[in-house]
Amino acid sequence: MKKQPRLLPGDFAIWIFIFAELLVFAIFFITYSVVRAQNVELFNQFQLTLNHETGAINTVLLITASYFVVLAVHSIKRNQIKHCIGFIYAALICGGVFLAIKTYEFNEKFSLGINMSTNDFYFFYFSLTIFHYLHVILGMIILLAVAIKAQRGNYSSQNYTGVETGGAYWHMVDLVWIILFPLIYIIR
Amino acid sequence: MKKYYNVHTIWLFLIVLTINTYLFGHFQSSGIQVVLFIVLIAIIKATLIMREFMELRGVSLMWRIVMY
Repeated sequence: MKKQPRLLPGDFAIWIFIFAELLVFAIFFITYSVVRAQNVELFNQFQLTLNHETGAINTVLLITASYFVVLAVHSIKRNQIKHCIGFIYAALICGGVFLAIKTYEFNEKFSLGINMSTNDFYFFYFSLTIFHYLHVILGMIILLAVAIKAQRGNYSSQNYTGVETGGAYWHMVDLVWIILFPLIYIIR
Repeated sequence: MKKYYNVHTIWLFLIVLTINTYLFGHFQSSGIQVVLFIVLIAIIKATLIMREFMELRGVSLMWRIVMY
């Protein structure tokens, strides 16, 4: 007998939203690559001013946050509500540290007088990372809402669509950074 | 079929791949081969996140094509 395909996890609407968000980021990434190809030397020179260590730490933080979100979804499916809430808060802590590190990076650049109008490289660096930063904040708000609803007993092993939906959005935020980090910080 | 991986090993693998990418940046490696390798690592990481974390493994072919 032919195996039926699984349904998309979570609310279907979030997948339309995720697809649209990924398209916007893809256009940004393609534009960055095209502009970089026309001015490789400038991009390589100013890429060296970025901090690879904080970029890598931030990648580890987002991957770990995603991992906690997966564990939260697995927990709620087993009706382990306390575990689910704990994993969501662990993911939120990772997201919070990511934002703190990114804020430190932005502050460091701004205090040196570097901003979006400094040159083409910094224009893309700030537009892409600030746009992503805003998505991390939105992802954290969604996860916090899911955690609060879980604490109020709104989710169980029979009803966990909300946890999957919030999780799917958070994974999208992680996914974008997975491409953004090598593209802006590493490839030269 | 026995699965030789789970969410914990995938997380560990993603971290190892991230350290790999970081080392290319740390040593300021350049050249077409390095770029292709870094892109390959990013594609593997993105595929693992979509397939295993976002649970797109086993969903309809249309959605897999759209998302990948």
